[in-house]
Amino acid sequence: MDNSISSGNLSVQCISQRYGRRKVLKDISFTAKPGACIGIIGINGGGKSTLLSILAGVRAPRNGSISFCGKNMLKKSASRKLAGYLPQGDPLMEELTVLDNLKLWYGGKVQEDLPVLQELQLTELLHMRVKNMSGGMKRRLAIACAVANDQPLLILDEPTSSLDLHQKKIIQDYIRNYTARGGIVVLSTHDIMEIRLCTQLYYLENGTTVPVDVDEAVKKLQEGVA
Amino acid sequence: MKGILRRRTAYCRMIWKKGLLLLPRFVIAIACTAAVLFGVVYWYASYSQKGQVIAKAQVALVTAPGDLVTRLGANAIITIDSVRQVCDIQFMSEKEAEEGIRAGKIDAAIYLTRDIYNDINSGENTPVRVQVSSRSLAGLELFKELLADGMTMLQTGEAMVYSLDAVADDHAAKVSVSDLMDRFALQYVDLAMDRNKTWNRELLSAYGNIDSVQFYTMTLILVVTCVFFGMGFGGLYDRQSRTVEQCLRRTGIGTGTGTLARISVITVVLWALMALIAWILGTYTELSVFHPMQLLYLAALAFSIAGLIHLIHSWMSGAFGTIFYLLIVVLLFVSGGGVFPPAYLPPLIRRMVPFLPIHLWQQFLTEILWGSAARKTVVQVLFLGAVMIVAGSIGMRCTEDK
Repeated sequence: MDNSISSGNLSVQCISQRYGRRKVLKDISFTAKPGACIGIIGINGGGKSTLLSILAGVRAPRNGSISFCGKNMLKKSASRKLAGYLPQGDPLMEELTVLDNLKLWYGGKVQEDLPVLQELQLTELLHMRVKNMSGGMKRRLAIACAVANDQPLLILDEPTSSLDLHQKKIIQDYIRNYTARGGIVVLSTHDIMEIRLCTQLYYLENGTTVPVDVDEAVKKLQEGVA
Repeated sequence: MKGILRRRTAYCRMIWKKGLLLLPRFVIAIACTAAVLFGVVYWYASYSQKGQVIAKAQVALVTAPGDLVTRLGANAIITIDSVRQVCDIQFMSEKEAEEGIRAGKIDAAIYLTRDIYNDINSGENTPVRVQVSSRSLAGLELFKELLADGMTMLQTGEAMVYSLDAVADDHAAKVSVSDLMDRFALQYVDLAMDRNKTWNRELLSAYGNIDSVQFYTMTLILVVTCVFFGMGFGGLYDRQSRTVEQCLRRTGIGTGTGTLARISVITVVLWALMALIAWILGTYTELSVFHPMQLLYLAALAFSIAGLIHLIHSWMSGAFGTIFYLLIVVLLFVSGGGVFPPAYLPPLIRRMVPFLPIHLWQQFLTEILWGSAARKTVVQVLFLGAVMIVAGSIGMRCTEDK
């Protein structure tokens, strides 16, 4: 079965955002090809989540443009169709079961043998209530919900923060497979293992992005400035 | 478009499921609160009974030894229901009565003179001695009122008989005072025995045009729906639900869908609850809610209350929101005539009452349960609900994470 993801180039041009007088993002630009994994690192409160939410179409930028597969991603219809988004907080209804939450994001129908459920090891947990799940299980479920429409672009805001190594591995394996099939992943992270997954890395400082390589990124993490 | 519709339907279904899952939690909370309230009320009632705070007054009736006619007449009065509800009257000797009052066993004593019946018949104003204990009891106060009312009634009756006697004299008619008294007594007894036809047709009290049982029935329904369930529904507005919604917004599910889903859950649950309470109460009283229009009007009321719940929880969610909700609702209840009738409230607050939702809901509930709902009230209730829902939805947007 061909499970490749039909993707295209991602182009982010001159994205700016401000909260009141404070400029959070200043002319952020980068491009990515199918199969890329873009890592955004930086200190807390530096604007990583804001940038990712703009890429996901949750927030509108003050200036700039985003195109993906030739579509204007600032249009909600395009971002809905092309981008899956995982915010820092898990967008899950805690009182409901895994299956209910999947139904919510998949629009009512969920096949229990979906590949994503197998990849994220959720098939055994379908009837479990979310409030009874561990943090890692919730995060895996949230990723499965984020890719409900087989989107070729996956935006993950600190996908493995505060998870144990086993849970991290499951999620990182999923990210690796996703990019290997041609999808693009944009993620923010403070994790060295995730940094090593990335094909492009940007350090976000004072609202601007600086391209860095893996070693520089790891060094910044160790220095506590990312 | 089809996908968005499908997702919206799935979302509404999940909110419903979540709402129904929350139900058992607050039904248990309500049951516990009700048990505590019942315990407190029961304790206070038994304390009051033991302390004789609201006990019936113990009254001694003293007649002259061997005066059987007076004793017979008095006996007819003390067996009247309304007298028995206020006091326990026992025949005693003068000595027993005085000692009883001194010992605190008797609250009051009435000393009737020998042949007082004949004195009344002949128009002689023989004074009646009444001794009242210095103890302050609610029952004693009621007894005093009853006594004063009885005296007024007696004097009015006498005045009527003597005026008729005078008129008869003026017209040289042959009629005796005794005949007039007999006729008057018969007429009075006839009316008194059939008093339901005379009284209780137009009730106007501090509660408005309802009695205390009706007033507190409505209070019960509104407290259970607004306070207990209103707090419980805060779970539909928790931070987690809002995070889900923010993410779902990019998939085409907006504030409108979120509001619609929540309002529908809250309205239906409250409507079913109100109908249930009214039905349970109806089995013990003459209340009936089986008319389809009554049930429909209850749905309108539930919609309006859902508006208030939505409004407050949308602006402030989480535990802080629940406390804030409780404060606002209690304030609305107390100042809106939901606990104490508006007539008992301070003048400044009384002027605000007509503008508070609780007052409108009480008025509407009265019309639904014990009358017929006026179209104007239905429109007002629905309009109020709609305004609060819109204001709440604005709150949902305003309080989203920036």
